[in-house]
Amino acid sequence: MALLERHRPILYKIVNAYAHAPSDRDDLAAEAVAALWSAFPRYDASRRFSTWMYRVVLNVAISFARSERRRSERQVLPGALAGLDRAAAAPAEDERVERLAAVVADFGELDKALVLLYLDGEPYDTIASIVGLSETNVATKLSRLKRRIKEQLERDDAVAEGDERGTR
Amino acid sequence: MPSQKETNVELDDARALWSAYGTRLEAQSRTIAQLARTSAAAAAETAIGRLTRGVRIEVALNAIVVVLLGSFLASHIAETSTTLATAAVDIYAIAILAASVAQAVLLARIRYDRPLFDVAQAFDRVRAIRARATFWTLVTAPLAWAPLAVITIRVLFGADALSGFGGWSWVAANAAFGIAVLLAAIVLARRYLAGGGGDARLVRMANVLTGASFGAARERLAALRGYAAEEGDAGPATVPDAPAS
Repeated sequence: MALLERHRPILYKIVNAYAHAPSDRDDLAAEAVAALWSAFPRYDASRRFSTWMYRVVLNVAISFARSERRRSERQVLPGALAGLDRAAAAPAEDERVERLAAVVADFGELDKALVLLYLDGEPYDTIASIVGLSETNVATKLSRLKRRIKEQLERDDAVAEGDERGTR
Repeated sequence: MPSQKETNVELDDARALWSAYGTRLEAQSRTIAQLARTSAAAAAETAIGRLTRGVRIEVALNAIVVVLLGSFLASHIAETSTTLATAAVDIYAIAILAASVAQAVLLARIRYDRPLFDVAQAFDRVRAIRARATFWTLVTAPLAWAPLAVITIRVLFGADALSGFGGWSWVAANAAFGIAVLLAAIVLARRYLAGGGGDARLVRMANVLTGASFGAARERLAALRGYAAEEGDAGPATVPDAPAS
């Protein structure tokens, strides 16, 4: 329990990336905890706990996101920060996280997992072992995904600038 | 509106932002102990857990049907028409049982602590088998009407439907009618339901009947294989980033 508690941000960042409606987030968090609980006896203590936890929670999240029952509900996106106390951070920071999350939300489930692991600062060999691809493949995909994120954010900036000029 | 300079998120900044976001989420979210209590109270079950439970129930029900049919066949082995009808339905039931056992075996091998790609691929394999099994069950169901009627009439009234209703011509007429109904259902499904709006269950059924579900499952599997295969098209692998703390 203490191990899980220490790595709680992993759970919440994944839950917020894969489920958007508040009720879906609660369901996914509960499902992930149930899966962690039942898989824990198989955890090899000689390995990094976070790697094991990423695998379990991401697998639950991907299965959850792919289940047809929720596919239509996922179209409603109240935003990555829905339900979060915004007073705790500067509005500009909130906006940037929101935009980053919006770009990542459009990625496929496995691409999203790669980006989340990258953003969490995981090294490529760890990402490769979590996702089950070769390190070269992970590097290739992340290189492409990072380019996509950058281009999308730049496009958003250009649109925002255009809107700003239009309102002047 | 912030200027481009202020809003342009460089990817190095993105990691710092993401880390701060995680800290805020942690501070404002429920603890694992609270979540564990909720999860136990709600008897939380994962998507694969739900599917596994459903498939196990299918296996149990199908096994009961196969055993009952086998027992019925053994006790009526002397009656040619009943034996033929029961054997036909039993083969149909055994095929359905085999498909559900295959799904149960694949699902039992899925572990959430395995790599994401392996789990996604195993899950998609199950979906493909499931879609194919449902498609063939629906498509061949009309052909099972006549033998099923022979068994039902024998069980309920003790009568031989084949000799009472005109023999093999009755079986042929039933099969022809079943095929006609099936073709009409496929045409209707293609025209009005498959992939479109309407009642979700009807649309799902239409997608199964037209083969769209099976096609989609196969495409997903092929896409996954392609995902794992593509490599090296963005230059050499970059140097791994600093390990996580």
